[in-house]
Amino acid sequence: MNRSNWIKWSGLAAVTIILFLMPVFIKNPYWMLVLTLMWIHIIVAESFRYIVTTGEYSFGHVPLMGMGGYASALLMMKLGFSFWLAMPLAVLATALISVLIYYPCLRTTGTFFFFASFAFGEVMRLCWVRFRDPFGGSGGLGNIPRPDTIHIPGLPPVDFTFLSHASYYYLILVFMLLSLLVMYLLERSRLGAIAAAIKESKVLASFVGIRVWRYEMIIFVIASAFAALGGSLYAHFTTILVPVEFYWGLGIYVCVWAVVGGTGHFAGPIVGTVIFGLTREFLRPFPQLVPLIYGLILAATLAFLPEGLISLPQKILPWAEKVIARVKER
Amino acid sequence: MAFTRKLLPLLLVLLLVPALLVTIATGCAPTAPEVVKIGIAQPVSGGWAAWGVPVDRAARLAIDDINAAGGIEVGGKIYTLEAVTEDTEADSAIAMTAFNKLIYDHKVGYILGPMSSAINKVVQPLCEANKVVQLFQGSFPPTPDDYYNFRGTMIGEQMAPAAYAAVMKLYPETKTVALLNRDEEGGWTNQDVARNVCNALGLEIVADEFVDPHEEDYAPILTKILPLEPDFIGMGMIAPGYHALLIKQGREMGYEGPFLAPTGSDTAIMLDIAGAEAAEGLTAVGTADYIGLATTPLMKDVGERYLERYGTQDAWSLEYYNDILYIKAGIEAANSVDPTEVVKALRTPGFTMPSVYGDVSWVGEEFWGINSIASCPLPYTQIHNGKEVVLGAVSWEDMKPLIAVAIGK
Amino acid sequence: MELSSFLQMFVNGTMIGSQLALFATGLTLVYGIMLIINFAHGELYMLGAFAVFLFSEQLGLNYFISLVLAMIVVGLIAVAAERVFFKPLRGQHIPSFVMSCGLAFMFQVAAVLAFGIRNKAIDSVFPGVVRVLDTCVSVERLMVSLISAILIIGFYIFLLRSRSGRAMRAVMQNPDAAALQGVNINQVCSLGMGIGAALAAAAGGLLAPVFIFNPWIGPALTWEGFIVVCLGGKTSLPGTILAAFILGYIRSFVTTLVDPVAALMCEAAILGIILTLRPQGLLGHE
Repeated sequence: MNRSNWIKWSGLAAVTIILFLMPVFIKNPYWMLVLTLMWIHIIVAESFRYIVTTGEYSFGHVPLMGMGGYASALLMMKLGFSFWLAMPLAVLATALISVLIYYPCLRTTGTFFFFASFAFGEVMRLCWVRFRDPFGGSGGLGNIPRPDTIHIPGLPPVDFTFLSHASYYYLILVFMLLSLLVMYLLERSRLGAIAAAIKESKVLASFVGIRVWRYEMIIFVIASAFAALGGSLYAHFTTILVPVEFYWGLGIYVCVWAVVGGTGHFAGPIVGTVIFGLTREFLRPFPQLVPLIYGLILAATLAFLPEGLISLPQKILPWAEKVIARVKER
Repeated sequence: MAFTRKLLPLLLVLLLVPALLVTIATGCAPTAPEVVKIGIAQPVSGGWAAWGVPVDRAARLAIDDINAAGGIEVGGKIYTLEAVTEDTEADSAIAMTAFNKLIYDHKVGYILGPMSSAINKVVQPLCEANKVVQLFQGSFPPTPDDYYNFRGTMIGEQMAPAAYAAVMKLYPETKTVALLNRDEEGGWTNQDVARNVCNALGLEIVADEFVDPHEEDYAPILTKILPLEPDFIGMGMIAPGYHALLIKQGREMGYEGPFLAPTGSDTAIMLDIAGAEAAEGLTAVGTADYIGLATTPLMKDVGERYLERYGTQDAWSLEYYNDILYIKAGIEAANSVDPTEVVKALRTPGFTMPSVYGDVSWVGEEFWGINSIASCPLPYTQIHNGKEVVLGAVSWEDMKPLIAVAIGK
Repeated sequence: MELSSFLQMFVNGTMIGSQLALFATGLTLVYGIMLIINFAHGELYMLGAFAVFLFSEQLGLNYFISLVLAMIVVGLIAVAAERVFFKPLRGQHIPSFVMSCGLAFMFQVAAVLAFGIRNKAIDSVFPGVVRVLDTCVSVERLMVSLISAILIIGFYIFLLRSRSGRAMRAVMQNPDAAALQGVNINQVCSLGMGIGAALAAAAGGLLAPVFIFNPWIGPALTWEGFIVVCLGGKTSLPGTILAAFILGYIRSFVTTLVDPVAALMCEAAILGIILTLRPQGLLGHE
């Protein structure tokens, strides 16, 4: 491993260790909650970006997150499955449903794809509103069961009552890290190279022999699987799912987090989600101003850092190098 | 440093960690001693703000009034009240965050909220486990397991029977009714109550429909229900601004019968949006015009100061003012600011507390197994010639037989 | 189904359609010229309603003067926004969309700070109800449809006859060719944004006496508008009008005959089907 890779991975390892140690130092359940929700949002934002690696922007992504949540909740509530079975099944089920949603959308591209994915996602979401049985209707599906207690021999049982925010924190942290790792490796793999080729030019990619629609579908389905994972974790964490939460509001936020963070780089959505999350915390005393500050951050980033916040260090670097050079001269 | 460029994004990610830690560290100012923090968890921004902001306004007015009058004396020390508002945006995840912030960061012992029944399912266990007193503005009945949770306003089972009974009294020839309600959890439970009440009163329900809570164009739904010739239209939990539109459009489409607002209306808004002619005969329970109602000097005084401070009178606002008075009464009776002691005092049988209506107590056990509803009287009004006329007020005692009929006891 | 019910549903649908047509025409214009998915279009409608409120209720001016003023003021705000926020992003679809979301947020907060959170209304300008063959429609809504039609026709005449109009059509057809012909793209974009915003503001101002408004009515309308635009053909103005009425009739008939959610499902399904089977919309070209 060359030096820069070594630095990169040890840096990430350090961050991971700090994240795992946070509950030990931060006992306040509120901040555990904030961070846990942030991990879920990162999964969804990152998987949104995964679709963007092909050059398309999907507005059906958040409804699919919701579908993962509903599937997982219903599997537990109606069929009595344990969380550890319901969640993977829900991910699988949503992946299959996403095939239905994206199959017609693959005939479209660009803004057409954007609206088509929204339209089909919306039809699915309206099913949750229209059919109170089994989805709970517009009032939502409440009293969703929590994950079953984990029994590891030799260790105290890990339970998920609402007060044990630490167990949720770790559960969702682990899933987030695994999801990020998988998506990172996928992007580094041949699939990622194909996605980049498709993004560059679909026509040229097909000339080179890439079956564009097939690989797009694979990538969209994988992204939907991760969104469903996020949705399932979300459902069992908040114990309630309301259709209106998966309407364009969250869809726009996810898009904003990814784009403002920077869709060009893998870590972009992470930066975007965290920055907006932290901003929201600081704005708690000023609830009316939240959209204004969001709008200003958006506008400023798009105007001055078109590649997203993730490109900030790169922009500062030449300037910083100049300053360091001048200081050295003295 | 050739490799540095590639690592720069990683640098930003690494910097997020200290950013997180700083945010967490600066999270919350500690509570000063001899201050009782009261949390207000309501939608104060977004489409539902019209419901949540009056709670915030009324609570702050009450808290300022109490502080100005010298605070609350507990065990020889003077305590002042402090309001902390967290926006719930009527969204369950955001509300969950808001309640957690209030409980774990601000460390409040009392919360006014939530407004929504769906959200309450999520947050009530949290409040109970943390021994936080909740004054919940939702409209469904309490359950015997509630200990820390009280109703902060009238519930549907109180309002609907009184409202429908009032209409039957005013229009004895009524036979058929069209029921409309807003399409969300509170609206559904309210519609269930309305159905029970109408069935019990022998009314035929010709239409049973739900509309989007923020629907403005009622022409399609009116086209559906008006040919069914309802004798009157019950508007459920549709918010005042929107049911004003419903009234206006209903009149335009030729409906001449009465409208009923069984969970409250706001005459000023009716006159502004629908006009005096269209709003003629609108029967409602509760009122926004506490100055006009003024059954006690305190109500008039608070109503006037609310209007002066906030520029409008808001529907149900003084019920939320009462919530703060109840908390104060509990603290004084318990001679402690510990919520557990306060609840014990509040739940003492026969406990009475002041309100803008006069002294009230916690009632409701005979119906729901627990006394968690305040026995405030319920005024009912009708609009005549552009003015709200108070036709009477249903006291708790008078309400009881109506409630029994409504819930089939 | 009785004839009178059918006629009433038809009338309701026509009213909804004409409201949507005016609003969506502005959206099509903005998209056609600048290829911007303008999420803030609903906010421009909202600002139009508040502007008419400001001029007519708070400053006491005549309603029609207020309407014209509102169109001008909101148009100018939009032009300024275009110059400052959208021009640097010209040609980039998604960044423009995200930027328009930011603008929408800012407009909402501005409205809250300026006018408060309560629902507002404006007194009826045309009182009375028209009753024909057992169907009813308020004179107000009828006049709104009429004035919307006049505005749309006026806009068309401008588009077809005037020089700027032709420049706009040229840019909508092929921006590079238009630039080669000497059309000032910057001017056309600003003008397009201004006119599109003015039409949205007109829709808001016309419907202000009919409905109520608050700072948050924008987003729901924007999505309705986009459904219309996509259905009709993103760069086709006649398509927009056709789609607006189709959607109006669907909404009216399905809501009355089934329920409101079913109407929304139909609209979403139709949008999805059209986009996948005929992406250019009903009347658009490739």
